[in-house]
Amino acid sequence: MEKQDINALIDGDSKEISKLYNSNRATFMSFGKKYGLHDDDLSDIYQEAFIALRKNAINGKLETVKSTLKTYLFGIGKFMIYDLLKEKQKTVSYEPAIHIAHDQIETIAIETEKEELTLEQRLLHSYFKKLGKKCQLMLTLFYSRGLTIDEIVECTDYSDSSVVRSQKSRCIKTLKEMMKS
Amino acid sequence: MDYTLLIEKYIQNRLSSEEEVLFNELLKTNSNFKDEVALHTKIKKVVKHEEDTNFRNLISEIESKSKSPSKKSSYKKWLVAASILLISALGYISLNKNTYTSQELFASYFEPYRNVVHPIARNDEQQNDKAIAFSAYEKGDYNTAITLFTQLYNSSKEPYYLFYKANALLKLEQADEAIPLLLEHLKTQDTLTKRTNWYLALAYLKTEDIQKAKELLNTIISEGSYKNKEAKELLDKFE
Repeated sequence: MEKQDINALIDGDSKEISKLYNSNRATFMSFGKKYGLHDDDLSDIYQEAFIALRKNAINGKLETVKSTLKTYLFGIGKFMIYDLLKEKQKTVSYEPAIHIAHDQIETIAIETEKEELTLEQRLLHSYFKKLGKKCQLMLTLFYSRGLTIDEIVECTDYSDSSVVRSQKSRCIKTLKEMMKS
Repeated sequence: MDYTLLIEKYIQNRLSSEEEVLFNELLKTNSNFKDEVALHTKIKKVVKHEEDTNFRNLISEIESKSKSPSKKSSYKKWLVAASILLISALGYISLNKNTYTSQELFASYFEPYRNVVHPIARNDEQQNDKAIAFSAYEKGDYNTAITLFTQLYNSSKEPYYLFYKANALLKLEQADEAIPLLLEHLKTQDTLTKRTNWYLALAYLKTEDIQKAKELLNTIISEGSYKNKEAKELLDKFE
């Protein structure tokens, strides 16, 4: 996959994300309709697939992917379409359209992670949101994007790794203090 | 090896096999180390959650611009159902320790409702009062937002100003002032009214009026309205 697409997914501003999102949306909707699903279902699936795509970008899973962003995204979408069709089959008498549609897209399996926070984590989350923007960014880069200290030096204005390290530990210290108070 | 470095590598899945052996050994033998690892694991979870939520909101905004608003589909409902199952399974563990105060519960559940009335475009040339008010709200300058929402409500009588002013007041921990505004807002029928009960319940929680908070949470659950899943969670903490 194109490196610039992966980077845009991870770090892109809302304009870039919007461009990537919209450039494949219409094609996906007509792709999905072959499976007999409605627009509402498909637009939900497309959103979920796009979110899963970005998670894989952050986790570094896209770096070795040979296919284009579009094919990969459609693969995730197709996996989710199958899931939904299976679900519908359980609840109503429904003949799935899985065998009707023919396309070259290989499904990409996605694990649905548990998103919800425990009460204790919710509290920590509220403290995190009280941190200054600098700290929030620092912790996001380290914990969520998985950037090493050196990589953080490269993409921020911090002069060197020791400054990043001390800033990071200050942020953690503030969080710890809020938890104790 | 420095413990901090070891934990850093663990958090980012970068431990070598030798480091992994050392890490596991420390985890077993050193309780401070174990606590520290637990803390950083929690932070990772929370920070990732925040980033995921922000991205999800962005995508949902982009999507709503791409189509006219429509009802939630069964796929989303199905995802929600799946996550509720997970919560109830995991909730059991956290419920054993019921030592949270209403203030803590409020802090962990309250978040000002996002601005859906006046989306702020970057380079917004038309800096009218409404734009300034909502921009202040988005930036977290709640005092300015409150002043402007009050003026705007007085001149326009648009009910949503009551709702957002109440949210700003709640954020500033002035729940007793937010309550009358939310009650007033409930009398109106704008698109935000169905969210009002949730914020009113939280406001009662904040003012320690647990009885009223419970009543509202029950209403939210029975009506299946906005934040009913959270309402159920929250109510369970009182039981």
